[in-house]
Amino acid sequence: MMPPSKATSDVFHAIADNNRRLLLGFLAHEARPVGACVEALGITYAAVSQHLSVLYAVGLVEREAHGRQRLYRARFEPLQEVHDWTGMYQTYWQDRLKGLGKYLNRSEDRE
Amino acid sequence: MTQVLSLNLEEFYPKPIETVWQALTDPAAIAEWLMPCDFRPIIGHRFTIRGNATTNWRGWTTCVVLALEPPRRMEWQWESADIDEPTRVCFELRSVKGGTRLTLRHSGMTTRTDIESLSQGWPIKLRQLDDWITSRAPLAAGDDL
Repeated sequence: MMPPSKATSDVFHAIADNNRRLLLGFLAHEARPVGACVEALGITYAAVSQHLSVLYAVGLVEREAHGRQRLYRARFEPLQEVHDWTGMYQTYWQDRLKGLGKYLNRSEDRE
Repeated sequence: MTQVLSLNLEEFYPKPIETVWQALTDPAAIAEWLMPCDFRPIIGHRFTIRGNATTNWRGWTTCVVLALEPPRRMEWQWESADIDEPTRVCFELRSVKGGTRLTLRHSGMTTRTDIESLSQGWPIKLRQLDDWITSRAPLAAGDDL
């Protein structure tokens, strides 16, 4: 059996794959059936099905049943965790930019 | 060290029983909703399901077709961990209003990690089967029921 193990069911793992990121983009504004995803990405049905399961497991896609159709749509709330994590390093860039400002001021003084 | 495995899952598929049976027994379909394997719908046939190993799955499961009663019942012997006695998976279909009901029973004695893996895995696979049946299955007679 192949369930997403604990190591692979976090949001960072879910977006680590380029095809899964493409799927999120494709499903961002419209709910679509699996078949449309297969056509859009040009990879096998089995691969799309597994990628959707990984995204579904972390809540990055939701699934709606409309009669006999099943539609997937992206949900972006879980990305907050990624955003928070990268946010920790924003001060790094703020410090770099301050440093650049100081450097520019000094070079202006020399001119 | 083994424990009791007793999974009992039910799903409804909005398609005729023949369509669901085909999805369960056509090797190409199984490869798309379950995993790649060399399944053949023949009693006694031994086959192997292969994939990437995870923390709770060794990467292959060996099976034997034990029963095949189209279009209602199929049973597999199933060995996804190193255990003394294989477990058993039984798929049962029944026609209901507007579609088909599938009951999946997986029982036997196996390791705790295997039980965890199967309990998480089967609901995912049955959802993938639902996607397959509703998007991929060819139209069948009685499909507009």
